[in-house]
Amino acid sequence: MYTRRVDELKIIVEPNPPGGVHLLRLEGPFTLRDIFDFQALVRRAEIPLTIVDFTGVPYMDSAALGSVMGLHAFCQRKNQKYALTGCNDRLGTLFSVCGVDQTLVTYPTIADAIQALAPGASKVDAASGGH
Amino acid sequence: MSQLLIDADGKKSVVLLNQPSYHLGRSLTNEICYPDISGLSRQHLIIERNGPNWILCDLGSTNGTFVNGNRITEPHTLRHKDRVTIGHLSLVFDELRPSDTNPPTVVFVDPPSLSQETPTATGNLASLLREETEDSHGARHMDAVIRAARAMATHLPLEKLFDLILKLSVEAVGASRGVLMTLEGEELLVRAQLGAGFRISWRVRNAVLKEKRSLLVHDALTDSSLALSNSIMRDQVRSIMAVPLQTDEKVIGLIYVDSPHLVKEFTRQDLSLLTVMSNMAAVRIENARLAELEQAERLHAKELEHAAMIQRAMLPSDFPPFPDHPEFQLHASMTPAREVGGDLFDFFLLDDGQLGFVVGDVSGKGAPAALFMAVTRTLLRATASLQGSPGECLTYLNDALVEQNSSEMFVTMFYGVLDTATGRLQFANGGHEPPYLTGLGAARAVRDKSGPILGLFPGTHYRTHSEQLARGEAILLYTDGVTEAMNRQSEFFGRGRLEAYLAAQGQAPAEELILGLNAALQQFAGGAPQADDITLLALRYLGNA
Repeated sequence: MYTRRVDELKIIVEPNPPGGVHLLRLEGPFTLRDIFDFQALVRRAEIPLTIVDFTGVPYMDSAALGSVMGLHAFCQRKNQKYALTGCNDRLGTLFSVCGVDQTLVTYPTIADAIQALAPGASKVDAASGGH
Repeated sequence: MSQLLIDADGKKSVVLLNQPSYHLGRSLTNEICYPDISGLSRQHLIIERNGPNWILCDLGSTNGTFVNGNRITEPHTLRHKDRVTIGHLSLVFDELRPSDTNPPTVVFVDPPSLSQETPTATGNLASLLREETEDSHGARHMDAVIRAARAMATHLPLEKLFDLILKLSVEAVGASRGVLMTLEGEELLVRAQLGAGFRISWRVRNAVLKEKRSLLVHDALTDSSLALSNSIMRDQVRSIMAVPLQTDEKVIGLIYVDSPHLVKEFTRQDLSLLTVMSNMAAVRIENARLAELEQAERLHAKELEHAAMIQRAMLPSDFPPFPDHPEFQLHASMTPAREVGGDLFDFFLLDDGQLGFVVGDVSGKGAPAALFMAVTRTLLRATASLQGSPGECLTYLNDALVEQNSSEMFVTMFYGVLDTATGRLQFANGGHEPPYLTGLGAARAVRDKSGPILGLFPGTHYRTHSEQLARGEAILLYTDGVTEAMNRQSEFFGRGRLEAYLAAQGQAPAEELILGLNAALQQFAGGAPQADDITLLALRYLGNA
C-alpha cells in the first residue's frame, strides 16, 4: 500500500469567531485522508457564513478539491454563504486549471471575506463567485 | 420475555419471568412471597417454563388457584392475559410479543440513597489471581477453569464465543443470570445475555471499567419506588458480581452476574474464580477479533487484486495499437498509486482517418475513483461513437455524470480527435492539465480551456478548440500525478522539469518518450512513495509518406 510521508493537516476551529461566522483555519497539506474530518467540521446547517482559511495550506489534491466543491454545493442548497481565504498561487492555479476559479468564492483575507459577506454588508450570492 | 402483573390488595408490581421457575406462597423461601395475604398457602403454586410456554400448577393449596374464574385441578398452560386469582392476590400473565416495546437488556442507574450498595469484596486481577492459587477451594475452582479453558480453545466465531463465555461463567459461580458486554469506544454493548432487565449502577460500571476492579456486592433495594413492606418486587435483594474483561492493562468489557440472595450468595472465592475466567475470556476474545481482522484484510486484498486485473484489462495494452496506420505513433501508460487507480486513458478509431484519444483523472484514489473511472470511460466511448465534436461529447458526458453522481466526485478530462490525414486536431479540455506540443523546438503548452471539471455542474457547455499538428509534432497528455510527483526532499517534479525533459527528448518516438519520462519520474522520486496515479499519453503525427 502506498502512503505519503507528509505533514498532517490540522483543522483549527476558531473558538471565538465574529458573530454568525463559522471560521476554520487549515494548516498543512490538504489531501484525501483529511476530507472526512474536513467535511464533518465544515458543514454546519445553522451557521449563515462559513470561512475556511487556507493561508497555512501549501497544496491540496483532487480529493480535497472535491470536498471544497462539496462545501460549495452544500451552501448553495442551504442558501448559506461561504468563503475560502488565503489561497496561495498553487491553489489558485489548481482552481484555474480545473475551471472552478470563477465558481468558488475566494477572498485574500478573512477580514475581506467578513466585510463582504457578514450580515449588514452587501450581499454576495455564493453562486456568482464573489471576489 | 413474559411477565406477571401482580395486584396484592391494591399494591401493584411486575415480575419479569426470566428464571426457570417461580414458587408463590406465604413462605419466605418462595421466589414470590406474600406473608400477609390471607387465603394463600405457604407453598401455594408454581409457575415454571416448559419450552416456549409457562405452566401453572397448584401445589395442593388449601383454597385453590383460579384461572379466569375457574379453579384449576391440573397443570395449566398460561395464555396471554390469563388472570390468576388467589384470595386477594391477582396475577395477570402478560406475554410480551416481539412487537411490544422491548425494554433494554441493561440499564445503568444511579443508586438511590437507600441503597446499601457497598462492595463486600473487591480486588484487582493480580491480587485475585494470587488468592486463587492459594485458596483452599483451589481444586474445585481449578476444575472449572480447566473446563472453561478447554471449551474456549475450540474455534468459534465471536458471537458464539460470547455466548459460551457467559454460560461458562454463570455455571462456574452458580449465578441465576448474567450479561457479557464489550466496550466499543465509550459505549458498552451487550454481546451475550442470560436473563434480562439488568439494572447496574454507574458506580459498579465505573469501578470495573475505569478502576479495573472486580466487585462483589450484596445489593439492597435499587428501586426505592417500591414499598419496603413488599417482600417481592422487581429487583429482589440480590448478590452481584461484576468483573472486567481484561487483558494485561486493557479493559475490553465486563461480565456481570447476579442471583437472588435466597438462592445463591456469592463468596470471595466465587469472585476470584470469575475474575480468572474473565481474564482468560478477554485474551480469547482479543485473539478471535484479531483473527477476524486478518481474515477481512486478506479478503479485501484479494478483492483489490481482482479489481486491479479488471481495470488493467479495460485499459489498452497492445502497442502499437494501430500498426496499419503509419501516419501516427501512439503510446500510453498508467501507473496507479494503489492497486487500482482513478486515472484513465483511451483511444479508438472513429472512422478511417479519425483517431479519438483521451486522458482523464478522477478525484481521489483507490477503489471509489476506479469505479467512477470505469463509468466515465464507458460513457465517453458511447458518446464518441455518436460522432459529435469533442466539445459536444464532453457536454453530453458531463450531464450524464452529474445525473449519476451522489458522491461529489469529479473528473478532469482532455478529449481530442486527430484527423490522421491532415494533422488537424480538434479537442475539448474539461478542467485538465494543459497538454504539451513537442518535437519542433521548445515544448508549448496548449492552454485553451473548454469548461470546468466534469460531473458537478449540470448544463455546462464545453467548447471545441483546434490546433494544427505539423509533421513530426507530438502532443503529450499527462495527469497531475506527473507534475505533483514528490521526492524525499518534498520537492515537486513540476512543469519546469517536465518542460526540460521535453526539450531534451521531445523528438523521440512516442513509446520512448513515455518510457523515458516514466524513468525520469522514478529517478526523481528516489524511492519516495508514489502519492497519485501517473498517466501519460503521447501521440505523434507523422503524416502520409
